[in-house]
Amino acid sequence: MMNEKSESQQQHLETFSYDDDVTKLFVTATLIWGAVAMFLGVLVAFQLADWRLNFGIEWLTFGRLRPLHTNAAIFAFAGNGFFAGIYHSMQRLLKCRMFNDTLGRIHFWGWQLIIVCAAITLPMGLSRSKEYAELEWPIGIMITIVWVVFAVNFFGTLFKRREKHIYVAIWFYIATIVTVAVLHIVNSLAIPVSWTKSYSIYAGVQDALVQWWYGHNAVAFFLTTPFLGLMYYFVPKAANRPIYSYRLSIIHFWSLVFLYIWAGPHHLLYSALPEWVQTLGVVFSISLWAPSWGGMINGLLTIRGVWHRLRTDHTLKFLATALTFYGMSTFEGPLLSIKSVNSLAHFTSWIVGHVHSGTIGWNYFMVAGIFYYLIPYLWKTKLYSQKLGHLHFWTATIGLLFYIVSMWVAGVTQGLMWRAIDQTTGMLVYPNFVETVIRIVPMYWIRAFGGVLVLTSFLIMMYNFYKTIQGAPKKVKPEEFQAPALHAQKHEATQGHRKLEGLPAIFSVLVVIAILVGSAIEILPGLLSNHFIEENPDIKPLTALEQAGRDIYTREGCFYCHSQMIRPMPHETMRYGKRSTAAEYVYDHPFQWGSRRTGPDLARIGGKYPNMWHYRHMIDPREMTPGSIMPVYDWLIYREIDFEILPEKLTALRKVGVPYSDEEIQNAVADAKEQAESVSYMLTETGVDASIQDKEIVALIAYLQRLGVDAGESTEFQFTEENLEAEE
Amino acid sequence: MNDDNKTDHNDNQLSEEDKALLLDHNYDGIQELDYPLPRWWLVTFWGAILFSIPYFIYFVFMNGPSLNDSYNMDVKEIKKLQHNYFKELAIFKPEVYASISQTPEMVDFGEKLFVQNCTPCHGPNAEGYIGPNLTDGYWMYSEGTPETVYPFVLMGAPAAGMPAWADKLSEDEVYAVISYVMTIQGREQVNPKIPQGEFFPSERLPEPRTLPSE
Ligand code: HEC
Repeated sequence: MMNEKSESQQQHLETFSYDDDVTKLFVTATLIWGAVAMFLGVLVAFQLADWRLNFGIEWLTFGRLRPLHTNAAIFAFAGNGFFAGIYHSMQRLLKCRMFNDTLGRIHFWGWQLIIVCAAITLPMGLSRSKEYAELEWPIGIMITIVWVVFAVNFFGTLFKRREKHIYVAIWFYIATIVTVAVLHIVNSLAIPVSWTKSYSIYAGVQDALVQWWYGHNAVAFFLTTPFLGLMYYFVPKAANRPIYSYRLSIIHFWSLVFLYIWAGPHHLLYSALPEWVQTLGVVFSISLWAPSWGGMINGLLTIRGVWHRLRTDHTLKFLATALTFYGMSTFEGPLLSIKSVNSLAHFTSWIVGHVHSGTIGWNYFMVAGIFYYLIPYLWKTKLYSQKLGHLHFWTATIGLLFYIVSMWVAGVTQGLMWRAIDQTTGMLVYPNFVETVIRIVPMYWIRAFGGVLVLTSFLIMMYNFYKTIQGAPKKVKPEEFQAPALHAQKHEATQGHRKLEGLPAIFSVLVVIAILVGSAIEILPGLLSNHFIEENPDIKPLTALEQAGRDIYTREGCFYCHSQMIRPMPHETMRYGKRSTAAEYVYDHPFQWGSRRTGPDLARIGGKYPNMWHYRHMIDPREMTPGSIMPVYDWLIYREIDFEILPEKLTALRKVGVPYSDEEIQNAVADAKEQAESVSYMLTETGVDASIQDKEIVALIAYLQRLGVDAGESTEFQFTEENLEAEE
Repeated sequence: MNDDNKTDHNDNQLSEEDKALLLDHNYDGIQELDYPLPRWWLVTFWGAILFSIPYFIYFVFMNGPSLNDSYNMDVKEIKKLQHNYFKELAIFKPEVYASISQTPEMVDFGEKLFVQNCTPCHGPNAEGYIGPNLTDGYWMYSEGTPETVYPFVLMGAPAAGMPAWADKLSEDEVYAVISYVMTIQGREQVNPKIPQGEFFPSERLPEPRTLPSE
């Protein structure tokens, strides 16, 4: 096929160049945002080791910076990183300049604008409080638009391509673009109250299901598939060897794309989610192990034969290490999805370690490997310092190991302490939650130290690249290439999957079908019918004041540290009260089940303490609980409740299905003020100034005191006379 | 196809086997081999799927134990243990109390427990804060004697804000903290909370010092 067409070549040869400037823009943005994301990570890591490190500034508290850290790492760092790689590789793989240079610039600047908006709004507490989907609805719409621009540019390029068959890297890019669009749109649906506030249209169990379908597949289709695509381009480039197995590419691509989408419920094991959905999550997660490793072995076996170059070639070294960490995390993932392992690990730091072995070990190392290749290539120069390259690698690797090991130890320690039951008395060995916190604080320090090393490694890399680019020749003529147009090429008939690779439109449709099957079977039954949620007439919507309190709870990001989901395990029901049920969450827009218990569960905190306790605790947690690492929230006693917006809030909630009556909406302000007075009565009685009545803390206390109350008390484990006699 | 694209794979890097499996496509210089799938990989791939199907069927369609079932089984075991413990615990044991209250180290230990657990509500000097003053001889739920305070501390009065301590403190700890509270009866307070409940005279405080509100 290669040497037989000299005739047509001469007749129809087209000359073109590649748009490398857009790649350079994305490369630069990746380096800047990467440093910001890691710096934020280090800051929040230190905040868990020492609560004072938010310096008493509300914009810097854990609950507000944590989402900024995750968004910056995922969307700003990894996102810009793979955009750079995709723009570079797809033009070459398709022998075609990008469809439209301007669309590329809109994509670039639009994306940076989104990140800047995130960096402003998240510290202000404007958050939808759904993990990795925190950005409020106007920014959500911007994301949709920019993504469509990217998609148009991408598919336009596919259409113009001069290479008949699309290479496996492109398959992964297609999967990324279509799936992220579907995930983002479905999970973002919300009813706005104002420009800065909206309520998810889903509630409770449904919201949880949609959120973790999204969250899990953001990992899959934002942090995995684009990087696997890049792996398929840059590994053979750097190793200068052919891909190990074409067959494996096909099998692992399709199985990955089909299976991944189902696995979301493994984030919700033992929760109030219907059990059949949980079981689906388990089996699909376990089935994902081999397809994930398919990518790893196809990469590592491509490098086989040139292992000796790992010592000197930074690109290869980082890519091989990234693949190894990828293999590790995709083994750990299915492991953590096994119910018994999950019961120990869920809500602990183990999960935090797991995600960082993915995001640092896989995504950061992939980006680093790719950039060691790309930057000298694009700027037509040589790397500034090989030595710094080695230093970079070892600092990053050692930092990451500190991170993973400390989080693993912390997670297992805390998980075991939570569940420890004295075998003679049947009582919890560590009834005070804070004991389990104090025990792992040393691990928080070690983790933060690991984080400092990773950040340092990044700065070393930035410096090395900065010097590289600085030393590059200033003006380079863009290289020109020649190839015949697609229609001018002769093609042999192909069969099977090869044929499909020549038909990208059909290919894309098949990808969409593959991801929609799992999504539909898993999510639609839950959305379309309430059949799966047992009803409980005792569960009533929050009052207007309590809703105001809930909005403060979401604004402050309490759910990054506190769960509201009591799992069916004796140690949980002994510690927190009876098991949570789906019925309790039907009015929760958005759900607040949480994913990490840095602090105790709050699902049944209502009535556990007097109002005054909460008041003191929010101002100074350590006064009530010595050794606590919870931040101080003293601004809540100065900031006033926004009463006037309450009718609009209730109206918006009614639109998404919370049965507020016209009366309740009309009287929202008066009712809220009245309740605020009665909540603060207890406080003013014991000496707090009467002006507290209209302050946010009162709304928050009202909300906390309501949590779990409707479901009624559980006396299952209480030391009561009744219980003493009942057993006879 | 054309020159930007020519393969520059160093032939030494390709084994004879590689060469036989090399496919003819070339993308920007990247080629593909077509090795068969490793056997161990196929085993894990199909193994996981084959495990999944009966697993799912068993738990979803064949009444495999639900989370609630396993939970209830675990709870039964634990409640048996607890029941025995509670029964034992519920009995006030004067001799144990006497020995603990007469051991100064245990009373000091009781003070420590008090500072950790009780001062948040009862105030740093037990003068009353969110909860009542514990030094003025007025009692709401007991008669101020160790035997009557004991069950109340174990069970608490959750509705009034006093937690049950049976599941948070051990038996000895409860005796120790009560021993300490008994030693501070009649303490001089700078800023005591208004008395709540009824006055019960004790050795250290035969007469009320402050008068109740109302
Ligand atoms: C950095 C993590 C963190 C954040 C953020 C956080 N907390 Fe906490 N919280 C803790 C820890 C740790 C404890 C346990 C120690 C203690 O009682 O202070 C705790 C305890 C609590 C308790 C007492 C629970 C009990 O059963 O004793 C309440 C109530 C509470 N937090 C409410 C909140 C609210 C409301 C917010 C948001 C405004 C919040 N927390 C934010 C870490 C956090």
